[in-house]
Amino acid sequence: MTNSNHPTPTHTGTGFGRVIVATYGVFAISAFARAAYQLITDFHTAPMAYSLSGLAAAIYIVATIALARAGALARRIAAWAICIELIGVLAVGGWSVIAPNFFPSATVWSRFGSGYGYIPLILPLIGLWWLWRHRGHTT
Amino acid sequence: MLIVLAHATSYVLGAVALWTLIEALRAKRPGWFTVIGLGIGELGAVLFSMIACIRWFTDSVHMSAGLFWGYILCVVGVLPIGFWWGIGERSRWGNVVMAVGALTTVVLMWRMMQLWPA
Repeated sequence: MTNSNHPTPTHTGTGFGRVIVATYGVFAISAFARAAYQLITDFHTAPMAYSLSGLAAAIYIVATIALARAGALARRIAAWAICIELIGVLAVGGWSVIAPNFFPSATVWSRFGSGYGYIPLILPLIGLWWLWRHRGHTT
Repeated sequence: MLIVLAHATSYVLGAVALWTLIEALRAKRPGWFTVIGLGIGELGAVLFSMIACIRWFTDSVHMSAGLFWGYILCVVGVLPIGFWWGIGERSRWGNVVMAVGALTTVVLMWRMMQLWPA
């Protein structure tokens, strides 16, 4: 099965995938910056929230690189990272709504990413859809 | 001065984002108009950062160093990286990548202005 939109339908980092990788890249940078700042300056005030920030940053970085690269392994890593990301945003999002006291300081995923225009909630869905569209393609 | 530059750069980059999205809808690759627009936007972002740095060193700005330099790096760096990533895509989606870069820079500048103590 080939995609007729572009000549090399092989990997997830081309075509619309470029936009997905760019958006993941933005979140990788901002989540990393936020986590690094929180973890270095005042980890002790909200260790749970800041650890989750760190986890989110790591997942965004892995997903960005994996989506940008070709090959079956990269796609598998991307799928895992995005699944964890989706579970994370749903769990932390739901949790932060039910028990806001548990998260005295915000993470990227708090309230389903409302501080980031809910993009953290939409992005994994688009990412998984894109991977699913490219299933079975090998380079 | 900082706020004027933030406004001016935002208008330029907003216009570039709108233009690239229209071009993407027309299934065009990024063209010279986009390149020049992004160049002007980057110039604005660099000037914004330079003025912010001058104020950082001269006034006593109560903003943590890590936060400040993180934002400066991103405000200056996002457009070139976005441009490099978008120009490699020889389809309409290259234009959308440019729009993502332009809008991200605008958001970063205004977020920095929010954090910037008056």
